[in-house]
Amino acid sequence: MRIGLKRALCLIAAGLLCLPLAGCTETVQMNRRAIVQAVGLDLEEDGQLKLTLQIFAPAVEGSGGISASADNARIIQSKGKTVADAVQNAALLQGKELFMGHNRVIVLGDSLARRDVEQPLRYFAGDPTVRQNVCLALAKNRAEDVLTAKINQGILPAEILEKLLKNAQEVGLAVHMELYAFLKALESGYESPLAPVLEAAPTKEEAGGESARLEPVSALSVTGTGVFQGGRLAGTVGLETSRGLLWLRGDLNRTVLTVSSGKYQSADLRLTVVRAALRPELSDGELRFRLRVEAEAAVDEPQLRPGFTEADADWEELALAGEAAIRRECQTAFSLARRYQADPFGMGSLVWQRNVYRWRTLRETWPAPLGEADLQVEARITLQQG
Amino acid sequence: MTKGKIGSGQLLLLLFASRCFNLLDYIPAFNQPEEYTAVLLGNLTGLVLQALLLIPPLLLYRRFQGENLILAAGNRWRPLGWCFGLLYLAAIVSQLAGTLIGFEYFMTSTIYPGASGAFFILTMAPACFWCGRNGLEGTARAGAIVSVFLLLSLGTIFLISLRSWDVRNLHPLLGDPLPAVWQGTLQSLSKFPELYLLILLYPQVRGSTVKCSYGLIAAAFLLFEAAGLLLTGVLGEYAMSQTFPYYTLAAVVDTELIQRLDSLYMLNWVLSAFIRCTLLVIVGKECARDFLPARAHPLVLPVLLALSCLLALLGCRFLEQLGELSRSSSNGLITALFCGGLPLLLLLITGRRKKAGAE
Repeated sequence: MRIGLKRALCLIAAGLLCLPLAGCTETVQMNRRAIVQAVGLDLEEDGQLKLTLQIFAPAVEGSGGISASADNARIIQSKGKTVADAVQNAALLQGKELFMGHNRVIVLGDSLARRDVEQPLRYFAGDPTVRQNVCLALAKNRAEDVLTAKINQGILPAEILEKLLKNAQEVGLAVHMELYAFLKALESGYESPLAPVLEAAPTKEEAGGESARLEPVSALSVTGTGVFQGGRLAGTVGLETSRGLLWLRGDLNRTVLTVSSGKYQSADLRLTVVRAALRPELSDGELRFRLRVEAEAAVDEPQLRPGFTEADADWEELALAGEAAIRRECQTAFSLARRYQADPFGMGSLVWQRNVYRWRTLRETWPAPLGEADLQVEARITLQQG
Repeated sequence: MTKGKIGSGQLLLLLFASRCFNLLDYIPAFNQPEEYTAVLLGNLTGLVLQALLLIPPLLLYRRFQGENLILAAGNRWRPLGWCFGLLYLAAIVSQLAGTLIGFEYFMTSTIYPGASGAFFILTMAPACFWCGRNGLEGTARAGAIVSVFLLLSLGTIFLISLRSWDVRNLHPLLGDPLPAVWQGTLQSLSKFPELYLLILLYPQVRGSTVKCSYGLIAAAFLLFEAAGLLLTGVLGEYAMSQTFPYYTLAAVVDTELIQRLDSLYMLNWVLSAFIRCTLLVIVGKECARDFLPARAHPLVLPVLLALSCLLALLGCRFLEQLGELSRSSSNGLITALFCGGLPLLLLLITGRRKKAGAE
């Protein structure tokens, strides 16, 4: 075969091979896409799902760049019997094709969470464009309140919302949950998923004219954690108990414990290195768990009680107070298992790893046996001097 | 026509790149066992079985240097060569069609839902056939580059996924271990056509066939075990409910720089599918030419192309039935037959004839 023809055929073969990579089957121009940044789901009184979508709508400054002071987002709301129905109806409200590939957060309304979240979330899990590691959150009341709250920081409100949720875990105040992790827990049948709770503060209307005060960065805050059982919200807990959940799950890397003791009115223990190990102990038909927590901490803002001076400083006392606080938070979090018939700590997995034969008998009724189990917490805080 | 030779290292890399396709194409619903721990343990026992199955073909090649299985059979008794040739050709064509179906299924179910499956089959197949037509040397060079790229990109995905890895997701077997591990062992064989592709390519290896053979099974084992441990550690049992768990793994992990690692996965997918299809074309072509008369040789590639495309297009319509077939444990036994059973049979036949001749 001639060299020229051979080369031409090679080029054609290479072109054919590249076609499946290029997505040449269906194209939609960027200006015909509504890029969804955040999704909110609420259950209406008539039983329909209300979908709130925050889409990227850039406000361009004079120089042509995106304005950081503008909202850069618009809201689309629609209803439907299912999520797919609501998404379809949302497409009818505006002339662009919805693109979920850049979705950062899914917020579930309280009413929907108390009914069932599994089926609505399956829609997103089944959509190949949706990222499986999208953040998941629970709204204190309605998801639309969270998505329509004003955020005066950054370019994208949803990006700040996503960071808010990640920061809450980084400082050890709330769990960070992603879509795939939530569904993984649901599918296991023995693990109870969690979701951080977001609350939108009510906006204060200033009487006439512009406000004389600087606007807050965000009207949103993380206020706790929602515990789910069987796809339904079983209950919510506050920030301290949320931290107890993180201790037990081994998801806590750093946090600040505010403690008081005989000599100290208050002091902050800034825990920087945290090691937690949870182990099941299965003996004589009893189920026990032992949590060992070791942490290194620095002391911030120690305030001695009246009558005590620096000469009376006793950091060992602070360390003991910190250890007692950890034990208390862990026991409070562990009591959730009894209260909500839930296992958000992954204890079922630990029992399975330790003794598969025992797990075969416990699995069918899990997490009920957790309600009869005992938890021992050993905490040790080493304070860094200086 | 003399066949070109390639280095044993190059062949190992080429076959390794082809083997990567099975990792990316792993569909729990089309495979057994149901617990991934059994798959991991099955890989371990499968490694031992593969090592044993390679002994007969290595001994056969030592006895008949320069001849592959089909030539060795045909040179001793022509009808036997035809039988062996047809059997291996049938296996290769079915693997080729299966690879095209797997490629199309991923594309149309996960990446481009609603797209025509025929588009993917009819773009991939001619490209692979054209590259296969140009011989083993070029493909081997491409395979070596692709395998390095695959290792780097899979390694990137795996390293990033370590952040989400949790030892609590690893569990011992819940069900009866022996049947589950046996199923895992057969599964490790069933999707390993590279074993008999390797033995058919022995005459074209310049260097040690023993090192190439055992290097391949060791490399494949390490890849599958490492990937399996990472998959289970990140996704746990959730992995087994996913259509393409390794794709899901790439989709759930991210970094600040790269948020969509599934695009990297897709690139790996296309490259490994291309290498596998091209390799199957080359070996199928050589296989057919080893037992068919010379006048039929020009028709081999067009017929293979038409047959594999037709089977792939038909197979796309009967995916559920194919899935059931894929779950069957007999697939592993078929690979064992092609890799070790038929060479052992030929060894025994030629051994008896030699003995009879000596007497």
